[in-house]
Amino acid sequence: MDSLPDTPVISVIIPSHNRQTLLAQVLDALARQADVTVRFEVVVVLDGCRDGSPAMLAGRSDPFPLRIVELPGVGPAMARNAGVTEAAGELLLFLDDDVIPTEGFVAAHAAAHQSRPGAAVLGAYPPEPVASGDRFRLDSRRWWTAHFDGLAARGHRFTYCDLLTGNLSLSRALWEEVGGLDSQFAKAREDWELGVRLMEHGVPFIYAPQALGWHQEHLTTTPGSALRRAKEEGRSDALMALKHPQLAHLLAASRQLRRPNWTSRLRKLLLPRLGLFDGAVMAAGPKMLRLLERAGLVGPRRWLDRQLRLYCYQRGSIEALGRDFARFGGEGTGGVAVQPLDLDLAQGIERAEALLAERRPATVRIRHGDREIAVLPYAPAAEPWNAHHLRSQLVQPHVIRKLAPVLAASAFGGGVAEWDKLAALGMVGVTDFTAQLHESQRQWMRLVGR
Amino acid sequence: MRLSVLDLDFDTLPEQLDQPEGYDGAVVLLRLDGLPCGQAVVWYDQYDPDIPLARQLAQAANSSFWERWVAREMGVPAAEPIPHRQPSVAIAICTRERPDDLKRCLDGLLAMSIQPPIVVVDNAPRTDATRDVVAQYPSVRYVVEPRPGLDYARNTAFDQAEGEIIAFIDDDAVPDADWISCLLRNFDDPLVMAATGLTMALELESEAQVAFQKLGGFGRGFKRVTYDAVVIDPFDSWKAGAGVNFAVRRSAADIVGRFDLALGAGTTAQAGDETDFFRRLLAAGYKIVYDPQAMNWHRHRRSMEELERQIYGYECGSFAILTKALLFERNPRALARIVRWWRYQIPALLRSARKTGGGHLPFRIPVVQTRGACAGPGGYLRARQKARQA
Repeated sequence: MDSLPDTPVISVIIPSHNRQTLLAQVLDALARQADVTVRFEVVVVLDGCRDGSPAMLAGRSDPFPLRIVELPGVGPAMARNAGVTEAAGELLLFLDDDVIPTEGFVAAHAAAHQSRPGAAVLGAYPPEPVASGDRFRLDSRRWWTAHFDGLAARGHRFTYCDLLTGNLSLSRALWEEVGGLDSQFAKAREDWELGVRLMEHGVPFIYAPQALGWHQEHLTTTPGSALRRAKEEGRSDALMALKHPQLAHLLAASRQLRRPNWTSRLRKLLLPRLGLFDGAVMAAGPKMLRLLERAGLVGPRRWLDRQLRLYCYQRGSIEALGRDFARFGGEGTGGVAVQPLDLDLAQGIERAEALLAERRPATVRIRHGDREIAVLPYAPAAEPWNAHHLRSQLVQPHVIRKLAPVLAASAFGGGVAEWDKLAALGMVGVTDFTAQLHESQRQWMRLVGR
Repeated sequence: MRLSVLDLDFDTLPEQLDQPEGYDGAVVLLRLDGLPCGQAVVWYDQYDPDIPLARQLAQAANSSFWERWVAREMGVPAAEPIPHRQPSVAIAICTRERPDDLKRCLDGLLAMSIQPPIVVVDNAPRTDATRDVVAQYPSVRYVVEPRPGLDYARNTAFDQAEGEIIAFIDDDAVPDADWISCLLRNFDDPLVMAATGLTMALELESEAQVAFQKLGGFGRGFKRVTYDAVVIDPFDSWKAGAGVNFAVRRSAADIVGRFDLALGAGTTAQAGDETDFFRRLLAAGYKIVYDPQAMNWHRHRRSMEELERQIYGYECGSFAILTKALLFERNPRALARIVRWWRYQIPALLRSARKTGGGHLPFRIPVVQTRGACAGPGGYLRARQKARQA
């Protein structure tokens, strides 16, 4: 990278809202890697901070240039945009104020860009391993862990949903090309929306597990904040469906309200009139959840949790849509006619991979001779299919069920139809204890699979 | 009924299966690339020596075999974890008056791919037999725990064994060569407090052994699963593994406490020691990984009386845990579990009463379970009092 010796290569941009202590820890962690890594600066955007964060920052002496932007509380999307305006680096690294970077964090981002210039680099920020038996904590941790496990999985196909701004880096040129974050999505989904535009620009996403920060979500998310967040997500998803109609069918906001059943009609009728209750629901909801958890009522608690989130989410959608609400979701079913690429595995998997790498199709039909094995589906704002996706798709349970009989017939003899009848194939991918117990008991019965 | 137990690598199968006199069939552990991946049950009266063995085994194999086999055919490497670091480990065997079994277990341990230190905890010995067996193995440490009860012995193992991880194996079990390394690879995540493995039948020589294996045995399936309190109710923690084959972090004892001295074999609560420990780990938000490739072989009880006592003991232990949770932890969930248990058990009792003959078992399982369940609360309270006095 051509840069003058004293200009930083990377600008680390941290929006922060009243999290003085955590912010200090994040900066401390960055300070520890200042002299062993590429040159970087830090831009902290204090967005509506009333907790003494400015004084804390003023009192620091860090081994990197620290710039401070103060805003009156405009939400993280605009805060990040403002941070970029202030930043001097060629690479922009967005970091949340509750993500504590590990050793070599900044260097790992830099290295990822060096190996793949022009990519969006998704860093890892799984939850800090702090155990809690609390349901809310368990669920929240699972969501985050599953997200990063998904990114790390072999042959993962990236989509816009993989892009989160808590630990993300991209070049300033790319940022300017796509136009930064959209301030409409002030408090939620600004990351996904950026992901959509990056994907549509054909920008490659890469996952950098070495660029690891520990997410202190156990300190910064609560059942109450989750409900407020659900409302913001509902609002943003509705706006997203308006801005990117090709995604409308994927977004829960429009899907749920479009169902042709009476509950959905009732919701459509009542939800716009319930605005006065939002505050009460958000205040009482977490308390009721707590009560059910104390009583050991796991099922009812799960039900209530889902209903509360749904309520908040849909209220958010409705507030955002206003007059558009009635006709929302009426058009666009997401049915996009894309001609699939036809792959025949009988001609060898290497050939299939070569064809995928050459054609990069949006959707693929996989055959083995005359037998249809799988369809790799079209998805809007997703990477096109490529060679490295193929093998992991072929070992998905529903694909194994189709593929195993063909492979078995050629390896062991007998007709494909005979192997199709194997009861064991129905259990592929099932890990439930009881189901596996029954499978083993069926094995003990005579004439299994014959 | 008798069955052979076979351990076959799918790539180096024999031409044919031997059909020894007096055996009805075989339970086959299937390996691919040396690693256990599934099982097949083959009946000799349906076995055709003229059809290739691979084809017949594939037809009888379970789903985990197919998952792994297709993946291998497609050139997809196994998804098993590759640990970043190897934690230090010690193996503990809690034993009581089973010198022959113990000897076989120790021989198996010394034949493993890695050799951690081994401690034998002799629980309330009546004779010198155990001491004499261990004396033949200079590298194995011998410790006596005079107070009877499996959990006294387990807690002594916590004190005596050195290592970040302590792996427990029963004296009547034999480890696979990669047993300990497969257990250990699951501890990279600091929230994983225990790892458990698959236990297969060492022999199926008697009706009781076959019956136990048929009921499910120690089987928890052939698929790797990470359990937490969302995947299973902590009260179902027995699904995550059994006491015959597991490893725990030593630090787990500081977090959720040690094994409950009022539970486990040798107490009036009969069983439930590791189930209760796992339950507390899950309830505190930790994870337990079930890794079937960490495999060992267990010699099941040979007589029907022993099998009956075992089924009785499991239910007794399970209700001992519910009693503990309800009375001493004030956990309202225990009440819901008890209600649910009866909701399933009453119809099962009625069904078994209607059935004549009772199959090939000399006892009715639901009846034995119910007797065990009824004995659980009293058993636990007595054991608890005894543990207090000690």
